[in-house]
Order: sequence, then structure tokens, then C-alpha cells
Amino acid sequence: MTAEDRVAYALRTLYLSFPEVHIISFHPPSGKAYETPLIRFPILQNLGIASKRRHLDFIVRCGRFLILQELKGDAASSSNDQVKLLALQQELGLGGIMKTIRARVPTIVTPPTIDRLILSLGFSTYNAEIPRIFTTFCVDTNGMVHWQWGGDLTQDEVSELASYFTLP
Amino acid sequence: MPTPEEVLVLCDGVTDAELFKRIRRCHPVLRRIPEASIRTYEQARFRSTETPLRRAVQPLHIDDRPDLIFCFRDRPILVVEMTEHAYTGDNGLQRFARFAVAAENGLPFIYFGPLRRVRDDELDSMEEGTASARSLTSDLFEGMKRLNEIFGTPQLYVEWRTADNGMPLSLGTRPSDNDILGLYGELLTLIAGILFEADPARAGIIQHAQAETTRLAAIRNTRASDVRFLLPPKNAIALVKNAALLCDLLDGGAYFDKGKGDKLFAKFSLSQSSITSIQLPDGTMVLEGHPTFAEILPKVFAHRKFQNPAMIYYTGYKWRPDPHGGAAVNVDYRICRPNNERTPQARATALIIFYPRISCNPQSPLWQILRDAGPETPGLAKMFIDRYGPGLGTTKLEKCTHSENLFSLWGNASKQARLFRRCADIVVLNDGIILGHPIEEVFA
Repeated sequence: MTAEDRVAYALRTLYLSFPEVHIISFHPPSGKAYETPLIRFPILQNLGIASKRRHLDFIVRCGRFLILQELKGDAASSSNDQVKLLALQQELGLGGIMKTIRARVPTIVTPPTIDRLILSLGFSTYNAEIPRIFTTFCVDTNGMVHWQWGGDLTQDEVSELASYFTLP
Repeated sequence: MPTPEEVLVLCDGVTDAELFKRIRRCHPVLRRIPEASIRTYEQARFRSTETPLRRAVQPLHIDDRPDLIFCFRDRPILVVEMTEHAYTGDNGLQRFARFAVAAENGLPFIYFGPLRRVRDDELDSMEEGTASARSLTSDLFEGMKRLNEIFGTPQLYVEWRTADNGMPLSLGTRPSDNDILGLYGELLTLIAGILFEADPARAGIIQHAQAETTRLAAIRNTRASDVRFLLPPKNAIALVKNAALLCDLLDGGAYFDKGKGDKLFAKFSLSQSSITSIQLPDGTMVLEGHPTFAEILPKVFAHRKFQNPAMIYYTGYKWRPDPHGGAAVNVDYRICRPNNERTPQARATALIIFYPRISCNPQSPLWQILRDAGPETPGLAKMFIDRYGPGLGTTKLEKCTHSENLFSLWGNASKQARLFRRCADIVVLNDGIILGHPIEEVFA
């Protein structure tokens, strides 16, 4: 199992432990997306070297929040992922992203109830500074997940998110 | 036959293992397979010692790895392949070598995948609800039917159903037992039916599934191929000696003037091809000028196989394993073994593969041109201009040459080389010939 595999399955377990956190799309490092639809985003103009991979590792919904997440074994390898997530946000916006998702999962997502996008990175080795706009999920050597909400979220939003990321 | 507690399930990756752990809980017998007995294949680099299980599984990993292998007492007893893909052309055959390897090793095989589905790119580009589903090529089912007829082992298919939007259905991350049984119930029943003799419905289940493969094979959805055809022996031999003849033979000469522009790379290679080296089945390379060079092909063509029409398979792909590796194995079983020959050595029909974007002689004049080929290569530029006109031709050529490795050198260690050498009598490259294992008795 690679470090990225370990991150992917630790986060999958984490998300499934919270009843109000819903995985819309999970694309494991093996590429075998058996559980959920594979959501491919349109080709983006400002993606540069990250343009070949058109899906995301996780698309997660909790309440009105939509989390777009990319995974790596270590934080230092995530620069392409940062470019990709920012390009998705800037070029497609929440409306375009929801339109793409709806084409794959017409019954699951009801667009009007989602109004806030969260860009996120997951990794196991925290060996580089990550811009504050990204919410980070770090899986430690014991499999515990530590997360830090992005700096663009208001205190109210963080409180709202914390209510979803709390065990019942 | 094993009890569920005695079954070991080897999985290609964590995802396969997690999926099987999850879905088998809904089956009354498969749920008894211990969780610890469902695990991923060991990585070759972590293996310390050889074990009977590793030795027994190794033949199933000869080219690549199927998704699930069920084992009992250190022996494989069932192979399962799962994919969400379903393609109309050669891409649908890219896994076929796994089907064949299971049958050649006397093992039942189950293929789980969609029968028809919408393509991802069409769903991306078309208005909602307008993308139409494409059918999986019936050549796949015909190949499965032939494997069953030749080896007598089950080759079974279970449909991965699709949603209203034409995409394969998925469970979601919190499925109910009914959700799981709705999607995977038939697959689980078939797996249990094959594994456990105690199941009274076993024979009926397998027979019914095999009949379904036969039924699907009879529903032809492929047209006659431009790149796969039988040729009388005299013409086939002439073509091997002068591969440039293919330029006028494929689709009556129209093949290279339609479809993707990068077909012209293959045409360029073909137009200048000449045989400067021959690799014997044991891997020995004989270069032009060697005293035995001129004797090799006459010896090959004197073999009984070349008294019959030969199967020609042209592949214009660059150096890559898929999909043409699986497609070649499919052609072998569907067309080249009319008498149910169990090995390619025993076949009455020769299989000749033309692979013109590949060279095998690093010293050949043609490789010296191809390794640096690009927009400045005179003959290549002319072909693009002849097809598209002066302006568009230059643009197309520049666009096509952005791709890496337009031309490559043959290497025996790669998957496509292993597959081609195993199933083809002759592989014709742009500057030489690879003689495959099926013709090895000529050099015994």
C-alpha cells in the first residue's frame, strides 16, 4: 500500500464515520472507482502541467459545503494539485462544478443547497507549507487524521463545519 | 472443493479487496470467507522466498494481473475481472489476454462489466441526456466462447448495469444490502456457484451463464475490419517481404486518408520499410549481411502454416501495450484456431502482425530517420500536406508531433512484446522482423 493509498483509505474511513458527511465521488489511487461515479471536469485553460488528470480524488458534501480534495503522500508533492483546485474554482466556479457533478450523479446532488466551495489537500507527510486557502487533512503514522480548515472560511463557517465533523 | 473458510482471495489492489470484503457480506456462503483471507497480491519487490502459492499464481500474472483470484490449498480455482469500461473497438479487448491466460491454465473465468454504456467524453461534450450508449464489442464474447470451446473451462459474463444517464451504476459509500445485491448479487451467486460444489444449483448456474456468453457472441455488433483479414499464402508472404504494399492494401488504399492524422506516421514508416534484421524465436538477432540471414524467411515460409491463408493484423499504435496486445490474442483465438488448436504452435493458420511505428535495429537507416522525426522530416511533411493541403497539413503535423515517442525501438521485456511473441508467428516492424514462439519448431 502506497502512502497515497493510506491517506485515501484513512480519509474514506473518516468521512464515513460522520453521518452528515457524504462522499459524492471517491477516486482511489488505483483508479478503480467502484463505489461512486467518476466525475470528470472539463479541460481548463489555466491548468498547465496538471491538465491531464480531469477527476478529483474526493468530492465530499456536508450541509451546504462542497469539499474538492486532492491527495498525495507528502505535502511537498501537491503543487500541481493546488494549481488544479484553484483553476477549477476560478474557471468553473461553484455553478460549473455542480453542473458537471449533476451530469454524473443526477439524483444525489441538489444544487441550490450547496453554496460554499472548500478546496482541500490530503497527505501523510507535512513537509511543505501549504497556502492557507486550502483545508488540509494530514494522516499521521498511527492512521489518525488531523485537519485544519482553510483561512478563507469565516469563524461561523468553521463552527458549522465542525458540527458535521463530530462523531455522534 | 473448499469450504468458504478455506478460500483465499487474492486481489489486484486495496480497492478490489475492500470491494469484495464489502459485497460478500450480503451472500450467505461467501460471507464465511475470513476477512484475513482477502488480501492484495504481494509486490514482487517485497517477496523474500518462493512459496507454492506464489508459484501457482505466477502463470496468471504472466502479462498483467486480474482483479481477483480465488485460491484453495495454494492453487487458483477461479479468476474474476471487473471493469466499468465498455468499448466498441479494440479498447474493449485490451483485457482479453487475462481471459485467455485463465483458460490456458484450466481455470473458470468471470468477466463483470457493462454491456452498453455512455462514453465519458461524450457525456462531457453533449447536452444533458443526448449522449447515446455504445455497446461492448461482440468480438469479446466470441473470443470467450472460443476459449470455452477450446479449453472446456467456463468463460462467463455478468453485466454491470448502468444508470439512467448511461454510466455504470455504483453503490455509493453507504449502500444497503439490497443496493449491493441489486448490483453484485448475480456476480456473487456465480462466484459461490463455481467455488462450492455443495451448492445444488451449481451446474445449472454455470451452464446458464455459459449459454449467455454464447448468446452474446452471436449478436454481432462489429463490422468487417480494415486492419484484420485473411490473405492467401502467396500474398501474405509477399506482404511480409514488402510491408509497403499495405499502404495500398488497407481499405483499398483509403485507410490512411481518413480518421486520425497520426495514422500517417505509420504510413511513413511503411512506405520506407525494409528488412535489415530478423529476431529468431529464442531472441537471437540476425542482421542483414550475416551468412544465414537470407535463409531464415524461406525456412519460415516453408512451414505448413504458410500453405494456408494467413491472418493479417495491422496495428498503427505507438509503443504501448494496450489495447492491441489483448486484441491480438482475441484475433488468435477467434480466427486462427478453427480446429480448436490448444496452442499457437499447433495452429493451422499463421498470425502475422504488422507494427510499422516500431524498429528493431538501432543501426538501420530508417531508425536513424524515425528517432528524430518531426515537422522537418521531408517525406512525413509531404504526406500531411498531400492529405490535408499546405496550410492545414503543416498545422496538423505540428500538432501530431507534440506527442512523445512517435516511433520506438522494440524491446522483448515489455508486455506488448511478450504478447505478440507468444501469439504471432511473425511481427513485421519497419526495419526488421520478429519471429514469435508459434513458429519456433522451424528453428528447433
